[in-house]
Amino acid sequence: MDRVGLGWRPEIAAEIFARLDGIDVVEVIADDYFEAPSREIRALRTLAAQVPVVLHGVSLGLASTARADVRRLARMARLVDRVRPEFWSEHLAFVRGGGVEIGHLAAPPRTESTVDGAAANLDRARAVVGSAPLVENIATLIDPPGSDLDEGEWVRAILSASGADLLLDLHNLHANAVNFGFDARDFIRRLPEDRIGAVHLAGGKWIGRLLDDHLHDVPDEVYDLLERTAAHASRPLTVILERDGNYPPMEELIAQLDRARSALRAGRRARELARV
Amino acid sequence: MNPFDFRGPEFLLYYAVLGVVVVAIVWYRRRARGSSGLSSEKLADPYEIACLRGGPKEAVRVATCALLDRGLLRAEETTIVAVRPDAAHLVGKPIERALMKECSKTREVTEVMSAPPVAAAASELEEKLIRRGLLAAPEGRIAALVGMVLMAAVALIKIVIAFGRGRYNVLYLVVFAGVFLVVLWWIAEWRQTLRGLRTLGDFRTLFGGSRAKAYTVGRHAPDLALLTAVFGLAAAWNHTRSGEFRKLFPSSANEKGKVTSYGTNCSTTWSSCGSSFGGSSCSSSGGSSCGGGGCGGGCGGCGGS
Repeated sequence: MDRVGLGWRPEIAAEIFARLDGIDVVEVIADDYFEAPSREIRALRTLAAQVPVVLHGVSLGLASTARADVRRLARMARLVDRVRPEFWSEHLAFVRGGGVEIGHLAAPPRTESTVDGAAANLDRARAVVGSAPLVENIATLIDPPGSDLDEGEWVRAILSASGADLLLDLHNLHANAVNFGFDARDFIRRLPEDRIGAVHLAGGKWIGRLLDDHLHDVPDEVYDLLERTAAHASRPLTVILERDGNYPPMEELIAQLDRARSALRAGRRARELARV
Repeated sequence: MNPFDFRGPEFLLYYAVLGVVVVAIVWYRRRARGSSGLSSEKLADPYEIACLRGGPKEAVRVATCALLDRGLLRAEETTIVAVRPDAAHLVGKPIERALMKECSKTREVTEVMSAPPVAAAASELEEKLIRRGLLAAPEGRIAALVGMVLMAAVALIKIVIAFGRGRYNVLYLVVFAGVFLVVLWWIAEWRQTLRGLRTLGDFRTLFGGSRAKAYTVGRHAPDLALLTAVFGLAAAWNHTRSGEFRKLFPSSANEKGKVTSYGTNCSTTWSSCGSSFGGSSCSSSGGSSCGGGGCGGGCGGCGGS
């Protein structure tokens, strides 16, 4: 059964918790808790007793020919072990190189080398943490130079080489499609239908290109992509609305969740009809 | 061998060993009830949380403020009244229904709080929490009380005997007895069990970052109830109606809350966008060289999440 939820953020935590009857799942940023005192980890456990929790990593930098830092993986392993989330996820990005933290989720060149590097890092993550993360496609304002593959080919190659499942960020996909002129619906259609496990929704703004900033409402195009994803994916989806600031009243976020549910239902109906 | 015939130092040693054993037994019983592992209580009802923190009357106070916020009750000085005589059917929880029924005509809030139907609904919350092991059952205090009586009685008997024998150097014994009584008082479950205390602490940790919000009347009822349940009515002092709340519950007006001690994740919050992107409205960094805006965000510049 598909589920719809919100990213857990301290500023809106009480509002989320007070409306758990309309929220199926919450996504917690794992990195906020890597060095947290035990009382904060225990609090997360208590949260997980009220509502399903998934963890989302941002700093492992798995899509790289450089080896993922085992100490960071060990921190994730400890957190996963203590919080017992339903799953954890991380980005197909690199965040450091040559010992320098670049502080961004950066898109690596889309080549066979980075496919192999990502697959090796995902193997390492699986070994250290005990489970592989769902991997998330990222947004980028520049087409990574030195790429031999397009984004769809690259993502599919990583899924195939690593066995990891996909967290499909539909606003990232939409932003890249707008910025680089490809068809997002075709991207979704070519994904292996049994490998999409979760979806991110968010909003952005136009700055000459479409910027994925998580500060705006989910645009219509993304709901349309969600419907198409639901029509394509064979597994139940966990859909998370990400909002990182400029918070509207919670009723508006709940309304966006309701709209996501409607899109999921419409997509599932279309999938059923297509199979008849 | 009668221990009361022991000489001073021997008796003090005997008393200390007895005290340590009694404290250990009381502590062990408390831990056995309270689960020493990670807490994982399912507890989402704000009125139950309020009752856990401050007792049945606190649950009524929180419910009253929530109903005022929702516009179902109206306050004037120290009186409250339902906005409509039939408003009780608009609320779902027993404590809310009881409050609304009692407020069908204008009444003093103190009168409403002690009205039998309201008190009964609030007591039901307390009983639920006792059944779930979050509040201490009366029997949970017995071990500590027995221990305190035992330690006090042994010390008193010895002092009486000593005085009868013309010895008055009982200062160390009095100090020992005082220390053990304080420790037993400290570890006794007078209200919350260890599990209850941990669950409350977990909620304070989870919602510490949500306290600084500004309220708009009628818009935030669910989280107003939750925040006042967890932190006390002080959490609502920036509410548009805080003046009404203070007049109704002046004893809560001096609550300072403990916002700083509970802490938040703000200073360390990552956005799902990446480290330097900020991503939370309370992050300090905000923005990045490749995008970002406002109070955070900016994931899309060099890769979004």
